[in-house]
Amino acid sequence: MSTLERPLSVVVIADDEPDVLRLLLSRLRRRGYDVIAATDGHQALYAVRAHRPAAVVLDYVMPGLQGTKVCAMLKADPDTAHIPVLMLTSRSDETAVAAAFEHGADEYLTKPFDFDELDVVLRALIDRSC
Amino acid sequence: MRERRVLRPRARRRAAGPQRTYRLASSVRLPCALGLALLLMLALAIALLVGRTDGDPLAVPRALLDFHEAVARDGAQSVRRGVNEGVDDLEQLALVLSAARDSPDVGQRFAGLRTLGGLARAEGRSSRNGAGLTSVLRGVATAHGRYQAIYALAAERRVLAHVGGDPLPRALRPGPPYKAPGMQDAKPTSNRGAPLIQQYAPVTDRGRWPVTIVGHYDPRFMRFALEVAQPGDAWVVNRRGRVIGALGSAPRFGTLPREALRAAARRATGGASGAVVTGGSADRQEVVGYSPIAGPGPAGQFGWSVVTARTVTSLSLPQADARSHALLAGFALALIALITFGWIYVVVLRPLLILQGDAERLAYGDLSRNVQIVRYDEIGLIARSLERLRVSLIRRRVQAQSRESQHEPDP
Repeated sequence: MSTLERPLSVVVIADDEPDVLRLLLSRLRRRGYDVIAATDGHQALYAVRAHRPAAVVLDYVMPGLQGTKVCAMLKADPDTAHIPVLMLTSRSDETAVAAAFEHGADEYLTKPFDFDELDVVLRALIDRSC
Repeated sequence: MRERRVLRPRARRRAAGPQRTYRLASSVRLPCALGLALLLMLALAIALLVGRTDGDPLAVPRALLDFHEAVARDGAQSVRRGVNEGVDDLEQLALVLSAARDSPDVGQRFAGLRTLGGLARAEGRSSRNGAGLTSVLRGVATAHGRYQAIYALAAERRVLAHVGGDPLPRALRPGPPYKAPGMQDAKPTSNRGAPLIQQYAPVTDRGRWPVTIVGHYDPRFMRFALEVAQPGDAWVVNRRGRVIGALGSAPRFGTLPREALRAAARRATGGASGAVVTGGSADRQEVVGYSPIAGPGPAGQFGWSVVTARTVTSLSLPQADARSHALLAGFALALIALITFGWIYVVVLRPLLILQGDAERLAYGDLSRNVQIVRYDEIGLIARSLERLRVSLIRRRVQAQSRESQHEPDP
């Protein structure tokens, strides 16, 4: 299925680095996603509860609520527990990866990442949750 | 709501497998190393064997020998004319000074040199005439540049004025007056052994020679006349085979560097000119040209000669060209081989070995460090896949631990 033929998926992306966030927004929008941006954990929580996206992409370290904390809160809420969460972070050590999965993350990608790979993983998460 | 139990990852484990020695050399490294070695050997073989003459001397055509004889002759004539011009310049200066006696205009032009009598009476630089003469000599030295020193000698060999280096002691010894322009044979200076050519021109005054202008011709100036021999070497030697001028470095009053050159110089001293091929193997072969410096003027009277030499491999001979091309091809092949295999090692082999180490680490359960992803090519894709594998393994372990903790009975 081409990018234009795919149904529009709403995705919330939370990252405190403006450059990374801007890049993610433009690239994922070009690939057919309807992207909602958040710059910290509280914004991310609000955006997910308000829009009920198809997937959430969270940075690990963010001001306010950390990515893992946001993930745990989403998974603890029955209304949002079904939404798949992808951790997208520069932390690649075993402790961080394990902690993310322990908090309920569904996938984990380390920076630097490839947008094709991000697209494939996101698409797989969305398809799996449907 | 059931509280999520945070599980700690298991303690980092070292690779538990046996320390195996991998025979990677047989599949990856060995072919690369062998290929590089073979290509380097091929390059060496091309450089050494193609265009090789088996040590036999290269055949130099007669026309090339004639050309090098002509080069030696041209060089000899250029040297002769150049050295003679040195004497001519001094003679012209002497004529002008002679004319200064009778013509006030000429005298005015040369800063107050009124009469030859006044010139001869001048007491060094302090006098008006001595200072004026120094100025004239400096003008000549600056204009021509071929003199190491110029000075004016009174009849009793007293220095009236000089510019440049000091007069030679032997020039100041009493002796008969210089009655006509000329020069002396090249002799070594006492201190450094460098050759020196003394030229002179007397100033005449009603049948007398009260003042003589003496110049030390700079032998380094001969290099301009010898440039015709480039890109080879060239020397000017005196009758005894001593070097008095050379192309390039400043000459020393020594012998020529090789016996073949000395033999050529001896033939030239005997009045012959020609060109011969010397040396045995092609690498040592030289075309040696020689010609006597003979002809009108004082420089042609001392039995000097010009000897030129040029390596045969630098000539445009078919065999020499083939040899040069073979060397170039061998060098190019070696360079290409080194660049290609260097690139293969840096871009393919080394990253593969690093990935192999990462894969083995993951296989033995060490998930502590990530797989470095630094590229976006095929190797990078493998690295990404390995990193995904590592993340998946961590996830499975976390899930397994979570299931285990859920099934444990509460104490």
